Amino acid sequence: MFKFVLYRFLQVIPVLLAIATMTFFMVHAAPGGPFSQERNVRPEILEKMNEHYGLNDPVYVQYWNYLVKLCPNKFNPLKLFVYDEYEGRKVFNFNLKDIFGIDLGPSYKYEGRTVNGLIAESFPVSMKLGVVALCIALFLGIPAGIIASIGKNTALDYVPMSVAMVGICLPTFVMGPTLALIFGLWLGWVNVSGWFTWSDIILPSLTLGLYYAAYVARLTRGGMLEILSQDFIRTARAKGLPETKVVFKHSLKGGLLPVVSFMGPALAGMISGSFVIETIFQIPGLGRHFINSAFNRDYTMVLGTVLFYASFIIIMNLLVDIVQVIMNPKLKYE
Amino acid sequence: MSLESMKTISPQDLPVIPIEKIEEGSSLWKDAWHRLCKNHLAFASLILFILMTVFCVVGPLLSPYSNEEQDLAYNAQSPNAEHWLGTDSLGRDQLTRIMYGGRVSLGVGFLATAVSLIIGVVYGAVSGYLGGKTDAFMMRCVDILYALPFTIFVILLMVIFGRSVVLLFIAIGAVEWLTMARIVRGQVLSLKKQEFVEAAVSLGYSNSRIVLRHLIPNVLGPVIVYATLTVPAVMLLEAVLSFLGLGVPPPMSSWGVLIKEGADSMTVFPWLLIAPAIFFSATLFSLNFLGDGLRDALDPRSSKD
Repeated sequence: MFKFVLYRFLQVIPVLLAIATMTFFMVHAAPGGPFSQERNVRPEILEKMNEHYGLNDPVYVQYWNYLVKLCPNKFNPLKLFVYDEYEGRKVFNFNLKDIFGIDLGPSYKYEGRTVNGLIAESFPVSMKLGVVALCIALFLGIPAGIIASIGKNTALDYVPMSVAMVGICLPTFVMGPTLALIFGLWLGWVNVSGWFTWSDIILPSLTLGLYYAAYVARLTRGGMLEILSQDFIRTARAKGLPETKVVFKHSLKGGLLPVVSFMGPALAGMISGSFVIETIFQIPGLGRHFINSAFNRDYTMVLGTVLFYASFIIIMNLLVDIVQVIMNPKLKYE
Repeated sequence: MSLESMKTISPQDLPVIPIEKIEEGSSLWKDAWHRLCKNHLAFASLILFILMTVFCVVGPLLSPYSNEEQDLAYNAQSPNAEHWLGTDSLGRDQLTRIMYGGRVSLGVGFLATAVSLIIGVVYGAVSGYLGGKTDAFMMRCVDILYALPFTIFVILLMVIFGRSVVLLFIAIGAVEWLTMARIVRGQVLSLKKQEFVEAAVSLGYSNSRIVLRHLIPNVLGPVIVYATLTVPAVMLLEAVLSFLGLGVPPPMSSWGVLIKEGADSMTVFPWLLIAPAIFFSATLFSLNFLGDGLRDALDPRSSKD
């Protein structure tokens, strides 16, 4: 087990390096410098700015400098909570530089601010949204799938599965505005967009969560059906176990395996889904920052966000893989 | 019968078997077609999808309005007899725009799927057929690419190199080929141990001929099923990009663009959101059901229940 985890961890390093390299050169191959859009900038100032950000160096020097600053060189989890003078208490602060020593550089567009700072500010918002959406997906999807698998080919099966199919075919950018139209505009229960009161999280997380709830329900049903048709379940029933025990104690662990392996892609999907959701509902999360910085040609911000997202997804995939092996030891030998 | 008489046997001399009594050899494709027809949901999806395609391809020719023609006197009308689905804020007929948008959406869906199909099938077949270290290396590359968050890279590509349709095909196609390569490789691995490949090898055929003429035709079933499911995935990705303002460049529009415009103005003109959303969702719906139905029809063993 330890060997497997170590092997997978070592595999992450070249992948991250490849991503950093690809993104760096892609961004640098882009036509037009980061400051070429600004109007009325005198050449001397432009020259100074380029010099300040090290843009006059050859690309390979810039690349090397970037990589060096990217290397984590410390681990200080205490810095996760820092004292905020304005709030008068310790607040959560996800600053990669303070915790790991990863420096993503200054932002080109937001003067005087670092990419680390911007991520620290907006990532918790996206995180909150993602966690709530994930809870909705699991708490709706898994029970629906179990019910459908128990009542296979009855109304208990057809109704939830038809609803799930509708959910899958309604993309987030259709579902989101529709929900906003119905609950925000016509019924007036919640705000149409924004991120001010606690109820503002309801619509975006529902939009994101329902889509994945549909997938989870289908996967749970498929996994449960496969397990329920196996011999050891027949044995369990034959020895007179109550059906609840058969389902929850004997089948659930195996039946949920497809859901666990779906968590990796789901997470990546939720992140890219959050670009759309945060655009629809005007939420100040990292997804919206990423899209905006892409439009603004804020290259350091784009680079930093892509790397951050990529590492996040890869690390989560790794965790999913490990959980999968713990749940299903057969996989270890493959 | 002497040798002489054997030579002169003509088809007419053979005993006549009444044609209807011959047990007709039923090919895989015929079987699959029958199974598909029996699956009402999948068959209805197929019809719906064909209708949708015809609607988008032929519709604009019959429509009295053009895609770009603006008529500010008739801006933002709700659905009425002249404009069945209303007009947008520039007075363009919404139904016509949906037809043109559908052309782009479906076109991107099919072309990008074709790109991913070609890359994926060839890569997977070569990797599976060559086997050994080449296979291990090629699949390791796929594993690494799998780990990349590709949607983010497509967005990045579109931002950096500008919005162009060709780039869109390439970017999306390059994202979607990985799973196809894995599926094809798995199939080829099991196929290449069979006798007909051995026979082809012993006849001295070259590797490329064996892969292209003998292996790839035999993996068509799963490939078609997966391709049917790739089309909606691609259309979804295109729509997401368009929704974010990174999809097809203006003046082209796709269903994603129309939904985006509708969502922006839904507080005043909700019909601009509802109509394209229904068209888009119905198409995704039919393609997903069709894919499921095809999987059940072409490979009954892998059916879900």
